[in-house]
Formats: sequence, structure tokens, C-alpha cells
Amino acid sequence: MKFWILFLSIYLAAMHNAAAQQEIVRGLVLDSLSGAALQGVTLRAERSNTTVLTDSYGRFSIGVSLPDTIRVSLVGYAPFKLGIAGPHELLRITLLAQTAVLDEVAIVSTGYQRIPKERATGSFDLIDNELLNRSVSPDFLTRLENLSPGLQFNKGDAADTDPFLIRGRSTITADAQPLVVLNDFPYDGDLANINPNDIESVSVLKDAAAASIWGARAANGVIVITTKKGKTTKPRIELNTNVTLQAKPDVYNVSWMSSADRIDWEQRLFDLGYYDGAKLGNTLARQVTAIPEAVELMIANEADLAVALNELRQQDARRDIERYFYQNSINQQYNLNISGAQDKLTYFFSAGYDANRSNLVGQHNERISLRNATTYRLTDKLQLQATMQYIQSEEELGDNPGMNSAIGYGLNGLSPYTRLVDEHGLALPVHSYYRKGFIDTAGAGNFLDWNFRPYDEIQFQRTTNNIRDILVNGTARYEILKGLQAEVLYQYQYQQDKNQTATDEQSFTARNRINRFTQINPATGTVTYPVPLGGMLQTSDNEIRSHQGRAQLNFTKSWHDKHHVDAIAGVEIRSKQTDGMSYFYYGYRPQYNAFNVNVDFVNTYPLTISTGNSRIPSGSNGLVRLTDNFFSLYANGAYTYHDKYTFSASMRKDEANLFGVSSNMRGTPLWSLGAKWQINREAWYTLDWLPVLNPRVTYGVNGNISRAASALTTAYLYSGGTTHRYPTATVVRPPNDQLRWERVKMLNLGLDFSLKRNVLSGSIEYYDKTATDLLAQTPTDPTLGFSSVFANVASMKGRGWDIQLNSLNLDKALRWQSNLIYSYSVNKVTEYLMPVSNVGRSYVTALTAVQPIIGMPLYTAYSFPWAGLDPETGAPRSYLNGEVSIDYNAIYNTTSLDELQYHGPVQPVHYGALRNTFSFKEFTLSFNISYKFGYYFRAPTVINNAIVAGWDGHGDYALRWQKPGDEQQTHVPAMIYPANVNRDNVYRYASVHILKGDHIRLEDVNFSYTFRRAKKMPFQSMRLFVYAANLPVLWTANNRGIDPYFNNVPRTAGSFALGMNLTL
Amino acid sequence: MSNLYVIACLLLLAGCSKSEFLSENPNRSQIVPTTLDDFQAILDRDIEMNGVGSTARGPVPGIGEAASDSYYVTDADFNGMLQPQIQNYYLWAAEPYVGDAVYDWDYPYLVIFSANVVLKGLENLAPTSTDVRQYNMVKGQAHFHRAHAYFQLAQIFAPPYHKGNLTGKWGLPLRLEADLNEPVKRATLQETYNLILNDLSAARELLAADIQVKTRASKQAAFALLARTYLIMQEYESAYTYADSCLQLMGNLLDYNEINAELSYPFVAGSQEHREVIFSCNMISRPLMSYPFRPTFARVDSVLYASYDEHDLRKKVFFNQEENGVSFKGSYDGREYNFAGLASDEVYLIRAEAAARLGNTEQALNDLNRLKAARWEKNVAFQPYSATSQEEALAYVLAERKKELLFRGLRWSDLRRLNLEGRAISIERMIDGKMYALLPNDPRYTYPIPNEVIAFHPDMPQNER
Repeated sequence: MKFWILFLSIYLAAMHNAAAQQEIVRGLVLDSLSGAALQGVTLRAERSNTTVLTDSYGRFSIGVSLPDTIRVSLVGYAPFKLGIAGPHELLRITLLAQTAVLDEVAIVSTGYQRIPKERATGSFDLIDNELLNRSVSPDFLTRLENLSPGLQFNKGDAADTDPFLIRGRSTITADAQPLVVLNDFPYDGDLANINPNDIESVSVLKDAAAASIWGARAANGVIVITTKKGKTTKPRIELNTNVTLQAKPDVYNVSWMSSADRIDWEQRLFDLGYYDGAKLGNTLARQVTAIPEAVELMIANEADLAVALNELRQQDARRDIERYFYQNSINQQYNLNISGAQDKLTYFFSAGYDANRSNLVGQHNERISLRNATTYRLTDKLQLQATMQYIQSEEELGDNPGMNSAIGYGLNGLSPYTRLVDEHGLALPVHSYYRKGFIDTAGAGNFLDWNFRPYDEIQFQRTTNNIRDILVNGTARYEILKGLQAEVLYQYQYQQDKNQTATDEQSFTARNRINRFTQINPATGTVTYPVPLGGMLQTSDNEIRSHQGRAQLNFTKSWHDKHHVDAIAGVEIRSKQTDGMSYFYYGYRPQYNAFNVNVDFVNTYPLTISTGNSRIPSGSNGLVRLTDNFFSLYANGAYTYHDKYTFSASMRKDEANLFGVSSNMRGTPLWSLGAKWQINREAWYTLDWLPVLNPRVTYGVNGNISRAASALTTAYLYSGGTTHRYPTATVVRPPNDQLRWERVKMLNLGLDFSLKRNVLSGSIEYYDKTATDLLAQTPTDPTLGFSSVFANVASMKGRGWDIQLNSLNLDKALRWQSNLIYSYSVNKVTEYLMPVSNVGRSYVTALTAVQPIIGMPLYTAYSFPWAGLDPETGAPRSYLNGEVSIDYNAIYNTTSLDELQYHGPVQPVHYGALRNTFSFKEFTLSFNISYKFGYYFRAPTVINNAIVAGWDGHGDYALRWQKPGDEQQTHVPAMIYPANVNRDNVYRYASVHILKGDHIRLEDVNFSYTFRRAKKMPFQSMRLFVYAANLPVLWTANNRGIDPYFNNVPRTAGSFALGMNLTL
Repeated sequence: MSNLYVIACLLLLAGCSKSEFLSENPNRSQIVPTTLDDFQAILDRDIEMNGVGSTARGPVPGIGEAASDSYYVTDADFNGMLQPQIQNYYLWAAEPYVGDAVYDWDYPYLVIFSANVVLKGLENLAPTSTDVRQYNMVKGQAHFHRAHAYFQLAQIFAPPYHKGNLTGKWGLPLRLEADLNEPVKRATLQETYNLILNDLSAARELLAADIQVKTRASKQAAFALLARTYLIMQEYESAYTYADSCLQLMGNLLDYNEINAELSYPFVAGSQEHREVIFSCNMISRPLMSYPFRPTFARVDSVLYASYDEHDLRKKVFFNQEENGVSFKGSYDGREYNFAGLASDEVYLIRAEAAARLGNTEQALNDLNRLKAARWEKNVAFQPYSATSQEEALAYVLAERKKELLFRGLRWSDLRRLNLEGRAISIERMIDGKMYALLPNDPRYTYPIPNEVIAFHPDMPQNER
């Protein structure tokens, strides 16, 4: 890999054309990081044609012919060029080790082209190998967090909106996730496949000029991954390994109604007659339908009832869940790579193995990754490159709901006093599906055991996901003329994703299915099993095949030392085919690898648990084929004059098989223009203290694709009807021949600067985005036959700042660097042609659902204004027509959007991080503090109606209003029976639960020790590190102690990693 | 230069021409409907076009039945099981919708949209000699479905058709295009019924009598719906003619002596299987869980129940004694879903009523007796209907309609039209000790256009309540 010239401005006066003048220049060459003197550095003066080496103190002395240029080089360090215009004092030259190249020398990659950042007009960010290795994770995406401004990772509830974005969201229905490119082509597999140890650097393409080469897929920004390649003549072996330990999460972060509260509440419901039906047990439904354990005791009403209930009051199911359903997690990562470069051949081979045991018992995954990249220079003009990558990952998951009591523990949640595991560690039955009395007696012994033991389900129902990902890439480059290169690239990727859920015959799921359909002939007593005995197997296989090909001409030429042109033009095709198939089988017996096909899915059978009849469920069976075809033409050029002025332009035209879009609409020409001015290179520039000052500006249009809409009537085909076997079709998309692709126009203003000696450097960028022709599902007049349609009806505006500041606070034996990133990002809907609902309640129920409102961000927090509790009754109050009211039906149904309380966006507006790095000799300590401001989330609370029907509830129950005066201390209303659904709705969606998400957290700490170039060691360098992440939040704006990342979910424990990077 | 060659090379990789490459179907499970088979498949979408299945949509609204007089619900079910919108239907609230979607409007218009897609699509097809029969069948079915949906909507959202008194009466917004940009305007009541009749006339010409499945429209279905429409329009001669034409083609009756009345649902599951069914269709059942006339909630009006003779087999076949009253189990769908299609028993009753009203008492009594014979215990002597006057015969027919066609979505339009001629049928309901009444010819016999529709078209005339 060729490295460009390091940043370093010229200390001396501007060049002048004085006559040649002989001069001796003396100086020192030092390692830029450690400050150590470097011996054996080659210095060559070009005009005087002299070459010298530094001595063991790093000193040199060289004769030059003024004005002259000295080239400085040392293996393992970035080469460096220095202009000498006149006589001067001792030169102090620092060289950067190639393993620790800083941003300023960055070569960014667009996937089509590698551009020195210095000459880039657009907004690029480069995350280099050192930064990527600073954090530890099995995937690469997590490692990008908090490193680049504008790159936003949402956590907690906000993650339900967009987990990760570049510069905010600029679409309503289309995919908002940035395009991920692996070297040359978009990566079509699962992003978790990519082994971070194979990555050399990551380029983040943020503005129109940077991303527009990706045309119709560029609007969300692009992340380009550049993998490692062989570069040193000597074979280089790297070993990276680490192990991460993490304790069990804090299950008590999930608020639960206490066992005592729950039992008292159930007693109250019991006394009020809620369970009278169950008590009577005079119908089958009443005998079958499960009721909480404490209520069973109340019905049985034995002498020791009070004692038994008291015993339950002491129990907390979270103890069992924490102990038996969670475990400490262990992640191990090993990676070995060998690389080298000989005269004609460069090679890179890497093998990686990851083994992760998750926090949930029964869950673990493994990944093996192999990668080989070879470049062969066949002749001076022809170069061939072949890359092969194989990734295999296997994940196994037991049926373990953990703390998610809404699923997995029965139909109504888990009673907080339930015991899940006995004192011997054996699973206990939980009667949350059927009453114990029913399953004990039903079928007179002809049914399979009907007990549900959640702890056993972990081992009896297992889901496995196996991914095989093969990627083959071949490239040929031919130099037609000097400066003109032709290249042809082809990439094939195949990913197979096999998913299997095997339900063992011992599992409740299988036994329950069999028992429900078991038929007992009342006359003969014969027992038949319409659902075959044995387990069940649900498979779903997905295959992705993608072919991508490209032919490109590259042109690079400089002339008269003034003009420099870099241009590319090419044509690209891409075809991605996704095939899915899923099958379901009964009677599965893994020991024989057999299943039973003899199942009657046509006729209905009387059920054993109700008076109804039912067909046997047939699982998920089906075939899917999706095809994405693209044909694109593109060109990109940059012209630099005198190394001062750079102008860039790009154009891309995409055509795709987007369903039904007539051919004239298919082409979407997308383009960008940009300019950059390196002011500091002007002759008149004299600001010594500010050696780098580069303003730049770009403007362009990028596209985005949504397959949600169609220009033609589209119908979905089914093989048969509900009552007949003829094919049927339903019109899924009404026609809209006005359909267009989404377009995002972006203006980017940037300024790169650096103070003398790099004391402070960085960039400031401002952007302004206008997204038009956005596809949106909009409510329509249902008279049309659809209550909503997709159309290009919406527009959005977004703007923001991305600021990056790097400072070198101390540069002595103790070196202290700070990196601050700050992003400000706002978006709002500006146009939404079709009318939307003015009914307020549609905007309060789900904060993370898209609710386009003109003038507002896409994801907004709205609520019913809160008027406190009624001091007499403890009833929640809101407003109706401006008056305090408890008319819940009217409040819930008639409060209009403008009467709601608006809090703000659900995604952070201000976010960023501050990273401090301290180096002392071989020690480096770095920690990253992140912050997010300007957003809101909703804290869950107790819902009256839910604690009547459900078996669990939120801990706010304990804070409920119980007597006049309580309203001073609490906002939790009195709990009543019967409950009123809209009383609950008005309360749960009230403003009192919307909290500020603002917080500051210590993201991670990395402490490392590096053995560098130590003579006695058998290796070039070795870095040992400890790394801690998932650390506690430092500050939150809300006063309820809720960390917005863990809003009523188990709180992840801190993780600690130990690792080593070894280079031989 | 060599660029062209490179393009060609790259395209060879995909193995097809550029235009083919760019028109490849992105999703195999989806089609752009263009062929007769595609259009037939759209019309065969029984869950939407016929409202059958557990999550069915369909063209027959439930809100007419919800407001009719065949049943009542208990206070406990009313308060505990019914959503506010459904409660409002039950109690004839003036503003019933409470901001929720009005499925009874949306789903029939979905049928109309699908029919329009087919009719528009057919314009681009020229029938050949080999497929002209299929072409006509598809086109005839589309006309039938559209007419059927408009007919059903007109019984709810348009005022009762009062022959000779149509001036100033609004009908429905009539959509005849699949294009979403076609303006939505409310037509007059006369225009609405004209469209229904025109569609049915076209269907009657195009459709054949032999069909594979009864979810598809047939010639006899078109006749039956024409008869029903003309009956509503008080055009009794036409009603008689079409009922008669229908029965010429399909006059089967099922002898209830063959039926095992002990079953929880005595008729075979699926109205396709019922011998009397001409056109399979159920009432919209998406809000089934909450519609009050669902067998779980609805308790049959005790006067109505008492009106069945003890030797009338319907008393056992149709009804079930529950703890708290009598429930209905006689749906021709053979399940808890309410059959609301066309069946020969109804057509006999249309012919009988038209005959009675036209003065042909004998014909009316013949039809009544034929039906009665199929409903009577075979071992018990059967007393045929006889009448001395036209009005007496008509009274028998109307009483028989109420007993034969209950829970089929027909009672509401009967209430509307019979009150128009002064039969003074009032309905009363008691909930939580409070009395509610719907008086004859009350404006609430016409439901308001859904508020969201009005919101899109502020100038659209709304029904007064």
C-alpha cells in the first residue's frame, strides 16, 4: 500500500527562485509517538543528489542545493518530503510509524477510488486500524461507535427507531441504514459476519460529494471497509486475541410489582368476585383457563391459607430467573494473519475464530472466518488480484425468555411469586397455561404430561442459526497508457442462512400441541393422536446470491507541476437474488432424524381444551424469491490546480428493476460538485500559528430506494382460497404511475484546520439536507378501497453540525491527546401532501413509530397533558377542552393533536464523545466519554387493566394513590376494579411519563502496554491491553434514576476484556 | 470504443439483455395482473370478495344487523365485551364511530376497487374465440361483485329507496375506476341504484349458470340479486320476473328433515356445501369478536323464537338453548360466521312477496308452502298456508321472511322498506336499566358517512341523523 505524504507544513518562508545555493542542513529524526531517536533513517536531497543516514542518536547532516527537497524514509514509517527554501537552524523531523498513522494522512476509500483526504472536497472520515482495535467486540459496527461525528448509534428505546444512522434520518419509509461497502462492492451478507480483525480502516462517507458515487443508494451515507493487505517485504505475522467477561445483567432493573402487592391485589380481585367463574369451575373454559397460583390457594381455602400466602409473599421469581436463566458471558476472539509483499506478489491470509457465550443460559455462538487476498503483478502493466473469504457462524438459542415475562412464561406473564426451579436445581411446573386441576385429571391418563416447566424449555426447544458466507472477488488492472488504467472487477457472494427450531418431544410446546388434539373415542376408549407423537421442526433457509461486476477507467495525470487530474468512469451491474424456503414438520425425532408427513391439515378436530374445533396448525411453509437488478453508469473527476484549488464533480445514473416503474422513470441521474481551497498554500498566507486552513464546499443529490410502492397494480398470489382450491390474488399495491425514487440534496460546508505542531486540529462541518419525493404510507379516503397508499408525497429537511477537535495537550514524556466529537442533527417533516389524522391518541401510543407531522421530527414524543391525581379519588386527570377532566373516553378519543403536549424528538439532537489518551513510555490509557442530549423517552408504569388480566405488573403499583394526600407524593393513580381501559390510556400516555433522555456516560476504558521494537524479544511489537465497557452512566437528566439505555430492561453489567496484539 | 464491449461482457454475466435484466420480477410471489387467470384469481380472493374465513373482510356490512331487532345482548356482555363503536351501533347512537376505522365502509369499497381493477384490466385484453367464455365470466363476475358491494353499502349509508320520492336524496360515492386520482363524489340515490342495475344487467348477460364454486357469481346469482334489488326498490314486477328466472335455474330447497339438529352447527361447514346457496358470502367478520350479533353474545328475541311452531324444524336447527337465553346456530355457513349471501329460500320469498303484492295470491302461497314443506317435521301433518286476501298473504310472507332469513344481513333493509309503507315497526332495547328506541323512519336508519371520508371531502353531503 502506498502512503502519501504526511501532513507537515513547511516551516520556512515560501519558495522563491533564488539561484542555487549550497548549504549544510543538520537535524534530528524522531519517532512521532514515542519521541525516540531513529537510527538508519535515509535522507536524500533531490537537487544536490546526496544521501545520508541518521546515526544512533537520530542525527544527520546533509548538503543541499537551495531550494531543495529532502526525502525522508525508514522501513515501517511513512515516507516524508520536506522542502528547504533557505538556510535555517537545526531541523527536527518526526516520522510516523505506519501502524499508527493519524487521520491527517488518510487515504479514504469510496469503494471505487482511493483518495488522499487532503485532496478530497467531500466529507470523509477515516477510522484507522488503531482506533478500530481500541475497543473489543465480535463485530465491526460496535467498534465505530463514538469515533466519528455524524455517525449516530441509537440505544435503548431510540434504537427501535434507527439503530444506526449517518447525519440523521432523511427518509420516512425507505431503509435509513447507511450502505456498507466491503472494499469494492456493497456487502450483501449479515454485517455481523465481517471479522473486525481483517479490517485495515473504515471510511465514512457523509456528504453528497463523498457518497454520490453510490448514486441511488447513497442518501443514507456510506461506510466503506478496507481490509488488510500485504505491504511489508518481510512476512509479517499478526496475532490478535482477547477474552471478554461480563457478569449477569441486573434483572432488578426491571420494575416488578412485588409478590406481597400482587397477592394482596389478587385477594382483592378474589373478594370482588373476579375469579368467581374459576371458583365455580362449572364450564370447561373455567376448568381449563389458568389463574394465578395464589388464587388457586384462595379457592382451595385450606386451613393453612394464610401461611401459604405468606410463603409466596417472600418469593421473588427474579431470584430464580437471575440464578438459572442468566449466566456470566464469555466472549473469546482469536485471529491470526500472515502478510507480505514481494516484488510481484503481495499476499494476506487471515484466520479468525470467535466463541461467545451469551448472558442468557442456552445461548452461544461461534464464528470462523478465513480470508485470503493475493495480488499478482503479471507484467509491468497488468495486475491481477483475487480475494476469497469464507465465514461460517453458528448460533444456538434455547427457549429462554429471560426477564421478558410478556413472552415465554404463559399467556398472562409471570406471577412475581412463582418458583421456577427447586432447591435441587430442577425445573418446577408453572400453571400459566391451564389449571392444575384440569391437567391432572383431563383425559384420564391418556394425555402426555401437560406440565409447563419454563426452565426445561430452555433445553427442549432450541433454535439454531447457521450462516455460511462465501465471497469471491477477482480484479484485473491494466495500464493502457501512463496515467490511464483500465480495471475489471467481479464479485460473487453466496450466503446461506439456515434457521431451525427443533422442539423436542419432551418440551411443553410439543406435548401441549399433541394433547390439545388428542381424540379419545368415548365408546371404545381408543386414543388417537391427530398431531403425531414426537417433536416439531420448523426450518427456514435463506440464500442470497449476488453477482456484481464493474468495468472502470482510471485516469491520473499531473503536468507542469500545476495541474493534477484524477478521474474515473465506469459501468456496473449488480444482481442480487434472495431465495427463502420454510418448512414445518410434526413427529420430529432427532435421534432418527425422522419426521411424520402423515398429518391431516384439512379436517378439523374437536379440541380437548374447549368446545371448539380446529385444524391442526401447519407451521410456516413457503417459498420466496426476490431479485434486485441494477445497471449503473458513473463518472467522477477531480482537478487540482497548484495544490491549492481542487474541484470535483461526479455523476451516476442508476437503473433498476424496481417493480413496474416504467423505463423512463427508472433512470435517476444523481450528481455532485465540490471545491476545496488550501488557503495555507497561498503565497500570501502568513499565519504561522495556523499552518493548515482548508475550507471546502460541496453540493449534490443522492438517491434512496424503497420497494414499498409500485407504479402498477401489484397483486400478491396465493395458492388457494379460504373455501376453495383455486389460485387467489389480492391487490397489495394500488397503482401509482407518478412514482419516483427518493432524492436527498445536500449542501456541505467544511473547514479543516491545524494549529502549529498539531496542538489543535480538526474539522468543522455544516450540512443542510433536503429530502424530496419521499415515499410515505399515507392515510387515504377508504372509499378508494385502501385506507392508505404509498406515494412520493413527503419532504423532509435536515441540518446539522459535525465537529471534530483533536488536541495535543501535552507532548512530553507524558503525552496527552484529546479527541472531541460533537454532532448536532435535526430533521423535520416539511411536506406531507395527504391529510393525516388529527386524532391525538394515534400519536401517543408508540413513540418509536413513524408519525409524520409537518414541522416536527419524524419520531416525536407527544403525550396527554397531565393534571395530577384527583385528591378525592386518586383518579388520573387530564384536560378536555382546556378543563381538568376525568372523562377518559372523551379525552382519549377526542383530544386533538394540537391539544397534546409536545416534548421533543425521540432521537438525540446533540451527541458525541470526548476521548482522552495518555501515553507514558509504553503505557497508554484511553477512555471515552459519550453524551447525548435533546431527546425523550417514556418510562413505563403500572397499567390498571393489565394487572387485572395479567399476572404481573409494574412496580409503580407500590406508589399508587391510596388515601387523600397521597397525590402530593405520587402520580400513580388509585388501582380500581373493574378497570377502565381509557382511564389507563389517559394515564399511561400522560406527560408525566415522558422523560428527558439526556445523559453522559463513560463508554469505555482501554489501558495498554506496548513492547515496541525491543531487541531481545522475538517479535516486532506486542501490545497487551485491558478494556472495560458497558460502564455505569455518569449523569442522567431524568430524576428517576433511569438510564435511558436500559429503560425497564435488564441492565447490562460491565464487561472486561483482556487482550493481546502481537506482531512478528 | 472498448466500453461497449465491456458492457456486453458484463451483461453476459447476468445472462440476459439489459431490458430483460431491468424488468425482472423483483418478487416472485407478486404479479402485475394482466391475464384472465390473474383477474379470476383476484375475484376468487374469497376472504375479501365473499367475506369468508376467520379474518374475513367482504362486502356485507355488519352494522345493519347490529342495529336490527332479531336479538338482544345482556348488560354484562354489552359492558364487558363490546367496543364503544359497536355499542353505539347496538344503541343507534347518532354519532357512532368514535374515531375508529369504519370497516363496514372500507371493506365493501375494497371489493369495488378489486372489481374496478379487473374491469379496467379487461379493457386491455381482446377476447379470442378460445377464451371468450372465460373473458365473459370474469367480466360478469366483476360487474356482479361491484353491484353487490354497492347494493350492500346503499342499505346502510344511503337513505331507504322510496319509489317516487327520490328527489334530493343522496346515494353513495360511486367509483368506477381503479385509478386513485379519480375524484370521489357522492352520487344521487337514483344514480346509485342505476349503477347497481346496470352492473347486474351486464352480469346477467355475461355470466353462465354452471360454476365451479359458489364464491363465484353465476347467472342465477345475478338474477337473485336483481330480484332483491327490485324488491327494495318497490319494483315488484321486475322483482317477480328475476326471482322467477333465478328459480328456473336454481330452485333447490334443503329438506331440514335430513339435518341433524343436535349438532352445535347443524349445517355443513362452509356455505359452498349448502344446497340452497346460490352465492357464498358472509358478513364482515374482522370485528367479529365484538359484533353483538355474534352467536356468543346475541340472544334471540323471545317473541321471534316463540313464533316458530314446535313442529317447525327450524326451531331446533336454528336455535340453541343457553344459560341466559336462546342463541342462533343456523348460519348457512355452518359455523359461527353469519351467512349473508344469496340462497334459494330468500328468492322463493322474494317471488312470494312480489306475487302477493301484485295480487297473485295463489303463487305467493305456493311458494310459501313449498318452503314450509322443506322445514316441517315429516311425520307431522302439515297445514298449508291459505289466505283470503292479498294483504293476508303478504303478512304471511313477511312473517316468514323474518323467521327464515334471520341473521343474514337482510332484516335491516326490511325494517327500512317496511316502515316506509307504514308498517310501524319500532325497536326497543334496554341496557343498564335504560330504554333506547328506534322509531319507524327515524333518520338513524341511515348511518352517517364515516367522518374520515368527510374529512377528505369537506363538501360531501353528510347524512342527517
